Amino acid sequence: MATQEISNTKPYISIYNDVISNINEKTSELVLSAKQKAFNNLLTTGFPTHRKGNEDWKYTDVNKILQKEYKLVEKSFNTSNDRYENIISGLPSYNSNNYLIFINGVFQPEISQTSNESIIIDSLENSLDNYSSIITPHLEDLSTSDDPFMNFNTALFQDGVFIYAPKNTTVNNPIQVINIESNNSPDKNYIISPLLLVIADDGSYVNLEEYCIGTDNSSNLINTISRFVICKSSKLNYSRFQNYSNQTNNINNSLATLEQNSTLNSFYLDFGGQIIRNNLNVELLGEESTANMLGLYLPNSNQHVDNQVIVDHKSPYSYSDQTYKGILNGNAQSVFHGSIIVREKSIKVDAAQEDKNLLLSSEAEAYTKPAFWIYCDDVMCKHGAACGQIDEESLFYLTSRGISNTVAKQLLVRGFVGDVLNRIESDTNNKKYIENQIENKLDSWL
Amino acid sequence: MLEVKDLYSSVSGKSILNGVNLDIKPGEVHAIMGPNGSGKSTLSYTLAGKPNYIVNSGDIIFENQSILEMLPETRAQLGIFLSFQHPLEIAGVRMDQFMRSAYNSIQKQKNQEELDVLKFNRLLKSKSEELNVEPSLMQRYVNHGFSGGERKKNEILQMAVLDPKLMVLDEPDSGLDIDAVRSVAEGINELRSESKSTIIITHYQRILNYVIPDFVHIFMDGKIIQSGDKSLALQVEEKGYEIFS
Repeated sequence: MATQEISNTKPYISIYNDVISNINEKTSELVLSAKQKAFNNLLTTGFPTHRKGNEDWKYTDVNKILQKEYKLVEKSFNTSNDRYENIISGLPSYNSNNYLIFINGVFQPEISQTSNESIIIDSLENSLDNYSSIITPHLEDLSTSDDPFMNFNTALFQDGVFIYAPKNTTVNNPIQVINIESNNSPDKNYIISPLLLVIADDGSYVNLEEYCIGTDNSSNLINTISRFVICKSSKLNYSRFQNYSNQTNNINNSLATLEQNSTLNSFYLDFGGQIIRNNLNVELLGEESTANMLGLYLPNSNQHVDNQVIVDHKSPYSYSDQTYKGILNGNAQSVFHGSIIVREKSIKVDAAQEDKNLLLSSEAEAYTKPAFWIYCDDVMCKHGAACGQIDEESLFYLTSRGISNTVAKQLLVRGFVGDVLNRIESDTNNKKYIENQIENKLDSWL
Repeated sequence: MLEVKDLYSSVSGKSILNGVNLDIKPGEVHAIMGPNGSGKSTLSYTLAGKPNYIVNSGDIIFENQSILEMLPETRAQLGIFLSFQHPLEIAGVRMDQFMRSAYNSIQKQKNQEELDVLKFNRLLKSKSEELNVEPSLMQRYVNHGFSGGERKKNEILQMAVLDPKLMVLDEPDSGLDIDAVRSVAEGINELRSESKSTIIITHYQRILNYVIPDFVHIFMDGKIIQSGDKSLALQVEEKGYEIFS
């Protein structure tokens, strides 16, 4: 074992100890042991390095993230909530609201709201005592992960969100999770480790929107776990909009398991952040399970967005589609690494993957890499990858009709992302918000 | 309306046009005929202002002003329309949105009313029906899944909506069967008027059976080598281009 890999975890030992000493007395021993186990895993593996041969981290330099010194958010962290009113009022709103607001990972019950529907929506810390029997098995599972950043979150998380939709429940309005980061003290970078656990029990339907908004010149490390448990015949729509500060690093570890006849529609939109890494692991465990994964990333100068998607078809008759698109400006970098695994007995799987990149500047770089492990003959798998600039012929066609160069470019670039936007399964308000955000960003670039 | 004066142009350093002269008055239809590779399409692109088509000498005067320094969109706004030989497919951009954007750009330049979605779609629908273009095609992406004939008809439809003064049609008949040629020709004839001028670039004379030209020019090696009336087109049909070389 290379010593450097282990030593890169050292600065976090005292942070971990702080987390443990802050734990509520009532918290189950099982939670504590999951944390211990996860942290020990991390100490053993260390953080990944982007040395040669480490394909998963070849293009994303973890050292750049770890070279900053991070601290836990102080327990006494206090905020005047009206500062955030503008942000919150700009987000889509619904008649009967279910929204949870976190500032630097700290739950804000005074400005959050959950209506009394048949499902459980609360902060994870509040839920840990009441729903321990539901939650702890998942934490124990997470603590067996071999992924360093998953373990990092499991060891350090202090709060997060717990959503449980009992059998055959449908939530009428979307549930919103709003993460605001706010940190204008230049000598402090926070390590924030939110854990989102969503359980959609048999036959339920959950519509979840997550908004990650940066303020000030925050420079934090936000290392997230999103665990989606999608049971038989249930459906989860998940739409995540990430616009953290351009100095914040965000590692976002999502793990979804899908049982028979269930559906996941996910959408990741990345605007902000300095180094962004989205790990999306999807396991299709039951027949007729379907995962539609969409992603858009629009990095500008000095931003780096890395999407790693692994879809594991563990069941026959399971279906998946990954459609990711990037528009890169300035000297932005993007990475897409999409893997599809089809197990030996997984016949009749239909899996597709596409990653396309539009480079608006000659300094931008996009790396895209498809990977397939297919151990079964009777399957359909396809993939496509492309990187290119705005097509000059198309531009001429549009301008030859009297459309100005700028408007023509806007039409073409919007057209490029249009098919992804058309396929987002979230609420109309969320879609509109996303479209506006994208439009504003593109208008400022073109 | 249009005066091309001793025009020399090149693409990627290669000379293509070698002294083109052309004088087109309002209401006239000029056919430019020539073999493949003679530079016909280059002439159309040069008129429309395609980037990388460099004019080395000569001039293009449109309605008493030189357009050489003008961008393609400015030329289009002044009333020059190029119907493409190979109309492009553009994924993600819907026909109706594209056409409204173009229409309003031109209206704005003319200080005339820009149309909202509803009003414009009404205009587009009526023009589609006039030209026998299936209106549902307008909800598709530009030329996406259009047949060869539909693409060419779509060019004529765009022309009808944008109402240009000078219509430059680059091989509007290529790749079409005889019924489709007739249908495209009917569309062109409907748009002809006393105040509009037309340039039809073609390899074969068959479309000229339907769109009767006032003048026919034989185009070879990047210039016009002979001009005449429509009988010249029949000579080409009969004897080929060899007789001119």
